[in-house]
Amino acid sequence: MTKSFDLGAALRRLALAAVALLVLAAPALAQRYDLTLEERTVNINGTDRPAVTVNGQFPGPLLRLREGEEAVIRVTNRMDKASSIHWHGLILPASMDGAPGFSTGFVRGIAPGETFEYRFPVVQSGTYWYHAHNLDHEQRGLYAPIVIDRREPEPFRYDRDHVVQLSEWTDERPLRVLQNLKRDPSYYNWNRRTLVDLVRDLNRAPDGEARRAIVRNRVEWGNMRMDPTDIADVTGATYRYLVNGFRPEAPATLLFRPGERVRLRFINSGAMTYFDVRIPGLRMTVVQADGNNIRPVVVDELRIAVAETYDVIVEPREDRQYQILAETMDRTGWSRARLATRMDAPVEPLPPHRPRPVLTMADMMMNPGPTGLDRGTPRPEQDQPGHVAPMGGMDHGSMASTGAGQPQAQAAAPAMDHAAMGYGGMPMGTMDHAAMGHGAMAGMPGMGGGQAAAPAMDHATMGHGAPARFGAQGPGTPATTTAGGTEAHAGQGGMAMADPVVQDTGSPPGARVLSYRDLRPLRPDPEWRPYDRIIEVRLTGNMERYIWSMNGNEFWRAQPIVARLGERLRIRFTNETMMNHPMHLHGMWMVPDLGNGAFNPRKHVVNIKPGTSLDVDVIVDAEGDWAFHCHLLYHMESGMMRIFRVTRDGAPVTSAAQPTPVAMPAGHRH
Amino acid sequence: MTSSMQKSVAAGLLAAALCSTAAMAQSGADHSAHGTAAANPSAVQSTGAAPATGAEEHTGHSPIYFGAVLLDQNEMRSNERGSPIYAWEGSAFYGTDYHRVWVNTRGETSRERGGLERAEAQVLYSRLIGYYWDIQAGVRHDFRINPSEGTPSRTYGVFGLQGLAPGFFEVQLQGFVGGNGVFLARAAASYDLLITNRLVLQPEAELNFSTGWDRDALIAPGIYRTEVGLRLRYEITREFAPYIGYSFESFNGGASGLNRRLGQQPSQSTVVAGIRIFF
Repeated sequence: MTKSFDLGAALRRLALAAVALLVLAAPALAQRYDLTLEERTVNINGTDRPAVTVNGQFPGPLLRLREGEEAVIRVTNRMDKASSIHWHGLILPASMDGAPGFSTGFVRGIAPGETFEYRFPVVQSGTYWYHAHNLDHEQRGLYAPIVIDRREPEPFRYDRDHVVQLSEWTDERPLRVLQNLKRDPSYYNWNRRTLVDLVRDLNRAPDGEARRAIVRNRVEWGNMRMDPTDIADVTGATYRYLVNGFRPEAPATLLFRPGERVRLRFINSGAMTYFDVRIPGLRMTVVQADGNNIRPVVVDELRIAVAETYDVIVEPREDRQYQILAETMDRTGWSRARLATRMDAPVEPLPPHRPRPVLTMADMMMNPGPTGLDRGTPRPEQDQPGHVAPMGGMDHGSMASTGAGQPQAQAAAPAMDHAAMGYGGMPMGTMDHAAMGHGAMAGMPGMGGGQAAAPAMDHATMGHGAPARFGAQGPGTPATTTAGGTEAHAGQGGMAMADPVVQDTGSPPGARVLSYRDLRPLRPDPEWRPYDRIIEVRLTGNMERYIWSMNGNEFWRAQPIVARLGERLRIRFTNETMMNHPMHLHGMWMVPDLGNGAFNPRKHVVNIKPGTSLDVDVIVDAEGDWAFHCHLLYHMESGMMRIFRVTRDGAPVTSAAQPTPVAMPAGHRH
Repeated sequence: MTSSMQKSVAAGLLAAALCSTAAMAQSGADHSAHGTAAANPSAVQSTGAAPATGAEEHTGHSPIYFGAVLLDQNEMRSNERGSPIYAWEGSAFYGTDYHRVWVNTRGETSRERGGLERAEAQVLYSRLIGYYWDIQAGVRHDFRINPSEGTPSRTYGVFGLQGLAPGFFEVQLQGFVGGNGVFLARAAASYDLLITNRLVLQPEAELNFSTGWDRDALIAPGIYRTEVGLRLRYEITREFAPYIGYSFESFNGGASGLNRRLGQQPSQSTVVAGIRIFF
């Protein structure tokens, strides 16, 4: 009797519990997080400095989400300034994007003492990150990884999963750093070309012709008033480079067991720093880029632009330590972590730095100035004074006179098959460049392979008939090798300008370096189709005054770029500056045209190399105002940003339906 | 005297106004954006097809105001005769990328009696006109230090061009109107030769030109004063760089006679030592 009663009660309780579980389960499908932003003291370089922490952590805690569910994230600001969190790379409603001043209802961000509830469906998977959308807070530590678990199993197998978040730290206040750059753009560059370098180079030069080429190269850079050593604006002179918040001297230790497949999620959360990543002793199988799975590609090295993410799988077989080395592009510092089988493994020494790269005249070759294409703004727009370098004054004629001369130049131009690269509309005027067409070039050994060799080519070798083996790059370091050439891409006939996507990391011969062309999605992009219209976005700025802009207008002067919901908008990026610019669009995917059609990858950051042009399609499928900017924070803060406005009503927007060749401005002589 | 001073001030202000009229509208926009950006009525911003939810609302992205002070010469000068003198030449600015206020100042102490021998100050409005160049306009005042001796005070209207010439030469060209009805011009150039990244040799040269006589101020027609210098500095930091060097100053043409009449050497070469300060 009692027994059966007990049973009934138990059943009832069970039923109750089941109901309770169901009731609780509904909200449990939503993933709730509470994040508190606070200033706390950190000590990276021996001095206590104020960092911005999330839940007391520097960098912030990993956010793990599940595809297909809803994320509810309450962010409380306990600082005395307004702040924000932007979910980098996530596809979500404009009001939840977290970019102050862009996102609807988020005009000033999260005010001090306030809590903002982000609520959005998670519609994607992969490795992403979040960060403050302002220079001061992001540089001081408000960044952290996001890992979104796929609903279906991943198409690749791995046993272990580590985040490798690269970043940098400065003891200076970020606004102070910006002021220093404004006062003196080479403030942090202690690696400029010097007289001592010149003397050493002249002594090393094999013959008089080479010596003349060195001097001529110096004079030409001087006449352009440009600095070929300006690889990074902010350097190891103030930065300490970190992995997951750890300094290279006491590196983060990531555990593995020999024979395991380890997934490393690389995230570049640096404000200004490009890293060249390698793991001596291991090859990396890249399986994901910017959160999107790709066909696995095995590489030895990869260059990660600011704000990009790459997921790689490594298979360490030996019971030993492997160093994950991330050398800054300007070679002034290291980020590193280590793969080890136990936490107390002794710290191994860092290898010597590779020779630092210098810019070459090839990086300057495609510097066309205004091209006259539609800029996507509601009204026509003029460049502000001081944004376009007076390249017309750069006397290319003198280069011609030193070499074979104009006839060859003309002959060489048609050899450059730009159509193959998707530059149908590139003004061929830029190609009519005497320096490219020298007879010497045809005779250069090893140059037939293709474009990949071009970035390492120095002007002296290109323009003046010096032998190719001799790079008169000047600053006293050997010429960086052309390992990019191991991946020579057919169909890129000609070698006029730097290849827009091949990276020259100075890797040893035979090493394979990842390029955007290797990023091919697993399945063809379902939304692939020809673009509807094309606009130009020239990346402009003034190196001498640290002014940065898009299409010659800084953010606070510029009109929005207007796109129509549903269209496929092609952006023709042209980098007129000598810096790399990692261009980031919020809320929508960008698809760089790498000639792979439906197998072009979707990215949230597309790097545009100096002096190059790249076509990038935007799948315009999200209404609202979105931020569109260079992810180098000091460039963004100086004005390299636009509103990307997506409107539904289809207000008439002037457009050039097809790319049309545009004549060079008269001032641009060759 | 007073009227000529007024004239020159007026000329300077007029020049400033002329070269900045076009800029004023935009300058105004800059400033309103600096405050509550929401209230920015600027026509530069979009009022286009879409509703005005855009640039006007952005906070924290107004033009950046910043400044710098450079005391390029801050040194003791000494030759064989007399006690060493202190001399300085410096400039400071504050503003945005496009619009700035510059203050230039220079001077030196007297070899005989200590105290200031001469001092000059300029206040200029400066506007970016191209990638490497600013145009400037404003007022220059030369102070009379000792009422009984030395050069008299003068006030000029200034217009000028400042920037970076091909080859990385820092160049400053200035014209002065007002002081006793003569037109003066000054051209200065300097170059930073990096021996290493911290050891920098800086040659500099300055020419002063006049269209007429201003005997009290030791000004004669033609090139009346030249100055060349060579300074070797060591940049311990960008802010702090001690240096040694050589400086040669000379009064030329008619001005050398004016100088001799005062019993002074028309030219002198000095060894200098100082600290360059930048902040």
